[in-house]
Amino acid sequence: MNCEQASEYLPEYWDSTLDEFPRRELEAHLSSCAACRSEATRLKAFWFRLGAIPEESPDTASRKRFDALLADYKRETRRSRWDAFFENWWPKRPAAQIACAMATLVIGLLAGHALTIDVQRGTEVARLEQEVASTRQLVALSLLRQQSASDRLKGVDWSEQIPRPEPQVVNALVETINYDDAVDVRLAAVDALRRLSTQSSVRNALVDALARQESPLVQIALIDAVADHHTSDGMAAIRQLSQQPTLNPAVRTHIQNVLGRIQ
Amino acid sequence: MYRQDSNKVQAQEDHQLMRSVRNGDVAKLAVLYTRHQRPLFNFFLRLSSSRPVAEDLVHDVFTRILKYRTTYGEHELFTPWMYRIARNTHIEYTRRRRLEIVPADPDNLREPASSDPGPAANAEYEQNIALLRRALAQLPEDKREILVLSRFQNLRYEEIAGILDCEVGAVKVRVFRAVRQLEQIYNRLAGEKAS
Repeated sequence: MNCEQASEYLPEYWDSTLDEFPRRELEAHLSSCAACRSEATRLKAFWFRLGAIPEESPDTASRKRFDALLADYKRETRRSRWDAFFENWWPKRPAAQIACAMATLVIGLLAGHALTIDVQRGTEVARLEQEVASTRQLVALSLLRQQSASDRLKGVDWSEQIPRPEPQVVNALVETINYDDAVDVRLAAVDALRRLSTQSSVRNALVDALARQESPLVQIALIDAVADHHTSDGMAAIRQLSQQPTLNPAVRTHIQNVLGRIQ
Repeated sequence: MYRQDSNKVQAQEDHQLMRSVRNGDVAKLAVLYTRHQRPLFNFFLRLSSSRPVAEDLVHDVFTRILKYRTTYGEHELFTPWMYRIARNTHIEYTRRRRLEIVPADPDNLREPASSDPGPAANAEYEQNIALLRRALAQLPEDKREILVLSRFQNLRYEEIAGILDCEVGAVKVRVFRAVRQLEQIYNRLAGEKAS
């Protein structure tokens, strides 16, 4: 072992980590080389003196900073799982990306077109329904003014085909109940208005008509229509009718039944 | 012998912990941080002579470990792997800041709080520590790095060779040259102080 080779082994020798064979060779060299022995002794002392430099502790804030880093990373990882999902779904090749984008565009255009057609179609249907309803109202009003009782009866039928009749039609039906000569037409008009008796104006018209009727059939029909809603005005009108001395006994009996059922 | 066995056990544990981190259990990195924060901090402190810089660099190292955790190999050892990252972090830091890591006056460094009142009370001892720190700070960076790794970080020469990507023989030669030059600087500074 020469001087240069000996120097390589010195730090390990000082730390007592040198293997047996090179240690013996080194010791042999040091015993025969005064210069190396002197340097080795001096540097060994310095080597151990270096160990006097104490370790320092990092600030506690460093730990908090690391914990925050770890927490952020965990949050990011959770979020990036979603990103990865979309990344996997989205094609990698530019050509495929363009194709996908075009397909999405076409689907969007078709959907938009279909939606526009549906909207237009819906608007058209509503407009046609409105026109039909108007036509029916015109026909009903026209028929209710005819001389022939059968025509007026048809007019009542037409009015029943209108979902939400205009006030003109309602007024025409009320007039029919009050003034039409034919009992069957008046009866049909009562049935037609009974369907609309959720409206207060119709209920009031039916109550008013009750006092004007002389036909027992129409009276019974009106009593049933008025009694549907148990309004105080309606019940008073029914009781007042029952007080008439000339009232048909069948009507009186009907009134008693109705009042008994309600009470 | 006991120390070597203890180091081997810890190396095995570190390896298992880092494997877990690599496979997604990143919470385990907190254990590795607890074990290695202090030695790593002192490694950077002896290289940079600055506590804030050392703390920043430790943080950077663990940030990189998280970022590159999947590159940790099955047959890797955690400590040399971590010091490779640490070394690269320090090189990039010095390059970025274009710093010449030679603090003009390491006497200004904050002295560590010692739990031992005997040495702390000894003015000669404190002066000696300050002189050693100044000498270390004046050592060329490559020599300071290899000396810190071998003398203070408790790493074997084989591990240092792996970190520095060189032969074990080259590590031995460079360690000896570094300590010899450091002693010269120390003696010069001590002579200046005495005169």
